[in-house]
Amino acid sequence: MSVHPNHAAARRRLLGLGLRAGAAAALGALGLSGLRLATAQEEVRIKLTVKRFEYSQKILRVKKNVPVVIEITSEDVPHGFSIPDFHARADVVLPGKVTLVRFVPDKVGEFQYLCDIFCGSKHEQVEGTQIERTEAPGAAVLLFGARAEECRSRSVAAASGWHLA
Amino acid sequence: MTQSSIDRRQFLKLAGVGGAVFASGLPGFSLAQSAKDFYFVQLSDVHWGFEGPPNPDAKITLQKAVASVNALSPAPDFIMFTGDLTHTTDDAAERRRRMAEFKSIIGALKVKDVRFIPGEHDASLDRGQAFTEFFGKTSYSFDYKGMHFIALDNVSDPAASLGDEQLAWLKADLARQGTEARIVVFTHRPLFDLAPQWDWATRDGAKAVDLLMPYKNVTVFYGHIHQEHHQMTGHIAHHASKSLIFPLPAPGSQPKRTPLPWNPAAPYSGLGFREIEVKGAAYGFEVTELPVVKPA
Repeated sequence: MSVHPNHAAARRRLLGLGLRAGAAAALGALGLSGLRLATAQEEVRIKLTVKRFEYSQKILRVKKNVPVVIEITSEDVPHGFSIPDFHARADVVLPGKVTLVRFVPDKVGEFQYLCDIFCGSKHEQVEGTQIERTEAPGAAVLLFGARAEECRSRSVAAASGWHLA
Repeated sequence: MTQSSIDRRQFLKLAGVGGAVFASGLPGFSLAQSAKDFYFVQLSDVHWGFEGPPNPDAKITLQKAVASVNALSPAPDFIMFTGDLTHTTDDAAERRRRMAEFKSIIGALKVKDVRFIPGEHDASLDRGQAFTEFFGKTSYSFDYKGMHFIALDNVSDPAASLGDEQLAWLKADLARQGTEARIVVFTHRPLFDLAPQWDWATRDGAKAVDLLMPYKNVTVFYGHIHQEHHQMTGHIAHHASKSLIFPLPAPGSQPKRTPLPWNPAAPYSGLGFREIEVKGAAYGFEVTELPVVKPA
């Protein structure tokens, strides 16, 4: 029986995920915190600052299905941070205080993050940055790009697809 | 003149949305004297103080709209501005100067029953302080000819929330109405998630919609998105109005929420205001979209 390449990739994915889940269950049965340890190891922490009207990073790179923690701090007034596509949002990002935003990027594509707290006269002036789609064989990478000049930023994510190594 | 204007009206009926009937694309301005109880006018997103290529006539657009409203015959019963009266500025003194200019210009409106709610450009940087000084409360309710009107403020909180206090007020206000009451809600932002990636939403708007759901006759008129748009949440219809400064693209239709370019061949295209006609005992509206300037 012939298998479409995409289907084969999907089966490899499922198999890989199944093996991971099975291993975690086995560790749990042994009373080990293997799953928690693995999660902690895979969690990506990204430090970000924001000020009128600028985020400190134009592009945030994350991997599909790898949990992300954004550690964000304002350098001036209260700002927002929201990625609607992943329902990830900070209630408010206050000056001098680290706010954590957790999410799992469970899809690839181009996404936007934005300041959703009206922070000043340039809040709405979006100057999106187009990021060329990357084709990195064997890599699963999302790119969140943001225009540094504006608080309300366009984010871009691109990926060549998810492959198990 | 009145009769000829009526004859020249071209209606596009979009019936069956929340009991409302819509009409648009008309060159005339006059309303028939009969078969209506009353009507009011909604103007939105004036952005007084804006300067830029999306509207090279920004300094005279509001005055032209005022003249067009004054030309309506018969005159509307009242006028509602649904926010962004002024374009935002970080300078508190400049904000007040713009509000004073706006108020002076609309002082030429023949109809003196004029009501306002703020937009985020008016109120988000000072939590509605300047707006309140010039235009009064940011949320309130009133009754007119058997209709209960509720004006909500989803912009004074820069995070675009109504807030628990206002939601409690809304709940108490609605509690005085029967479930058959005829209710109109005014907001600036949409109460539902129209396009969160463009900030076209209200964080706790769903809570307000939940409070409104037990009432059978509810319609929301709002602004913010600079275009005509109609959407239902359950039986509640939400109708966005055009702006008086520049149109914006359809929700989520492109990566960036940039103004549509000014068309020198058709100045003011995509801009306008609307009449909302309330008819008789049955709950329903006839919404008529009008251009800023009367076509020659």
